[in-house]
Amino acid sequence: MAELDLLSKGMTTCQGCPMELIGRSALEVLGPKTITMTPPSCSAILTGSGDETGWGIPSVQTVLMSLPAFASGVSEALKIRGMDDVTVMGFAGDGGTFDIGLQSLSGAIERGHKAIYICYNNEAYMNTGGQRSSATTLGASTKTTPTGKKEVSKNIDFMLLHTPLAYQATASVGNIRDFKRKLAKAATKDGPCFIHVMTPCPSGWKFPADQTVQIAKLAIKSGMWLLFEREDGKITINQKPTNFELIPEYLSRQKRFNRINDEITAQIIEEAKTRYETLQQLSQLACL
Amino acid sequence: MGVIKALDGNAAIAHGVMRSKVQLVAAYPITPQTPIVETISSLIDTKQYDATYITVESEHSALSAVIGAASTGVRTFTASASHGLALMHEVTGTCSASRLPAVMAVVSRAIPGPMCLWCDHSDIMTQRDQGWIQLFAKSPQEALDFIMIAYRTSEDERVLTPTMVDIDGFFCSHLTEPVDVPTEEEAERFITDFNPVNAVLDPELPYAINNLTSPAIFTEIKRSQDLGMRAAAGVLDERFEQFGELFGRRYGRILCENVEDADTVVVCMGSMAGTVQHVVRQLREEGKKVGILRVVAFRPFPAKEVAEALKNAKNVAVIDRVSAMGSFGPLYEEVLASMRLGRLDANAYSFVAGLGGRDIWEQTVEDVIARTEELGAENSVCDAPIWIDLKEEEVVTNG
Amino acid sequence: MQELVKQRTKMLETLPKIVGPVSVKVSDVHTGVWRYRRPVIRHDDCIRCGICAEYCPCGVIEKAEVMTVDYTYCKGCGICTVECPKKAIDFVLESEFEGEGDQ
Repeated sequence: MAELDLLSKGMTTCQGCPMELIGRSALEVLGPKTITMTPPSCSAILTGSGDETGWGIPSVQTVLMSLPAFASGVSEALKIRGMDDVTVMGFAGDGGTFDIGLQSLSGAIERGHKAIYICYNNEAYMNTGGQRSSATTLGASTKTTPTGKKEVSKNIDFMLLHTPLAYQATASVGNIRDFKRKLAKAATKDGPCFIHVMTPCPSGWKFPADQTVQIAKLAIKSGMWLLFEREDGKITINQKPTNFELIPEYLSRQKRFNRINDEITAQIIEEAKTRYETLQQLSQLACL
Repeated sequence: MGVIKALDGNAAIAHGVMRSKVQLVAAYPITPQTPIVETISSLIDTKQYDATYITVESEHSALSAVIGAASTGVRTFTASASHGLALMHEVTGTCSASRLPAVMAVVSRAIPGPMCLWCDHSDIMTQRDQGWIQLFAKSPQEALDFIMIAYRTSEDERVLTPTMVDIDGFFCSHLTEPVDVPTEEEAERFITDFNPVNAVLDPELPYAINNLTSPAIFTEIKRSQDLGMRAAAGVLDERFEQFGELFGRRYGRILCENVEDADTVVVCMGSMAGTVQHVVRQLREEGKKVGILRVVAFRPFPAKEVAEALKNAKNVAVIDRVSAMGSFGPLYEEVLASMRLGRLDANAYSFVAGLGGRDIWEQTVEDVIARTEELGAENSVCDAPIWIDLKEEEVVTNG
Repeated sequence: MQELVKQRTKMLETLPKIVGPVSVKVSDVHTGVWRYRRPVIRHDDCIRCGICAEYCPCGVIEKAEVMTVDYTYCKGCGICTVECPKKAIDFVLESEFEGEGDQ
């Protein structure tokens, strides 16, 4: 008899949804003594509606702008009540993290509340149907950028390198064991932790649902997604990109990049290389 | 008797919070509320007060953190004004709908624009339908007392509705008066440790709080909230009574003076009540039959009590410290609805005064009463609010 | 019925009265009806490494004596069929599926 699931099996997320996999895997690591919060987003599907919820743990539906502030309140209240063994898990998308929730996130990190913030990045506002976010890759078609996004995405990981996080990591649905290891580490920290997970969205990125994990793996190999962690003032790169020349393949396997030309492809490759070079140099330095 | 201290409205609120054994405070400074933030955080920082203060980065986060903490079962407080309250707007509804008994001090300041630091009620009136009990204090003493009464009311299981305690920016927040501060032991006779009676976040009993709500049940949840708010009326009466017995300071949802036989009654809220009361007493000495009806609880609105109090009045003057542009002031509309409830046909006139920190002088009140009596004598119908103390020559229009 | 649903149903029996938007029942949509292709494990080729279960978004694959799929909930995304290192999971059209099946 397996241990009790902490997330119902009958959730109405899309076929092949990596966000659900990340939520499910997170609870396998954190266990029943966890309180989760979701903003209005795809993850709110797990929190449910009406008198039903998908979670087997307590949860709060926050507003989009201030999940980290809700988490601050919960975290401090748990201390007041002497419930130190309970983990607070924020679970928000790129919209709630990169855009509307960024101020609240930066405040909560700086104040140092004990909580784990998981950002599942599907590179657009997917729950409202797929509008661009500041995490959307250059050239990607979305509902608000039908001819392709003109801007380079915001690098939130680099932004957060100079904030007093107790633990910071990137992860990917393409390497679930690495994600679980990082989350287990975060759970031991007595401060704010941020884990940024790449979650390719079959519905929004337009690829077959069975390819979700493959796309994520290809992102890691091609250098479109970097796996690293920051702990005790040191950045560790967990997996090196194999070959930047795989980027065109990564792009061509998603219909959202149907409209890009060679010039944009070259720009995306160049950006990926620079990003990795920057990370390599940063990993030689002492951080916060 | 407690200890008499010289406190302004903001400091009185801070003492009320401490005496109410609040466990967690999250607030963001804004003029004229800032001294509340400074006083409470300093008391906590210097260990004179055992509580948690979250130094949030915005008002939106302040109330969000309070909601998180209240959902986890601790007693919470926040405070704001004007822009800050506007920024909180999204979450004031979340807080009340989630039936969290938080308390907030609102130090009223005009809502923008134009940019203004000074008092009127345009900020708190944006919140009138957000499901919070609203109490208007007129003095530092009342501010302290109402904070304590607010917790006992909000947390009552019949109510489970948050409360805003409003004081007028500068007029009350920065006015220093002798304030009777209950000692800890005295306060404990009225207010004890927090015991959450509704759902809280606890792994032993895994609830999802504030979930997406469909048309199938949304109306019923709102009605339940409305009933909680309505129940607050009776609970407030009980608490005012109990508070009066313990501390000797007696309050009610409305406070009247000289209304029983008054021909003209002035209805008002907040700090202007002191001036109105003073003018009414003076005019009484001159033999004029005038009275004052002060609304303390704007939500839940004491419609029955207002109707009962106004039953003998010939003329009613309502002073709103806010302009509902293109319509009548919110207090006026409530009073009219109450008069309808009592089937009263007195003349009622809507006045707008004291916007953006403009003083309401004795002369202002005298003008209001004079205009009311004049219009009442002609049985005039009030077709638009009357702007008092208006510099007509400075009103620029293109029409 | 899922264990989580059973446990929560029991909890509901002794629940104190609560007011406000609070959800306690477990969502239990039988999402298996969405499926138009089903993953079918060839147990002879399966090495029980559990990678399929690790990558199943819906948590419907369980590692028992043999790997089992809960077809009540399996949406048929096919991730398991792609991730299986032994390629021991067939992805069969429901219309062509001939074995004994739930649902």
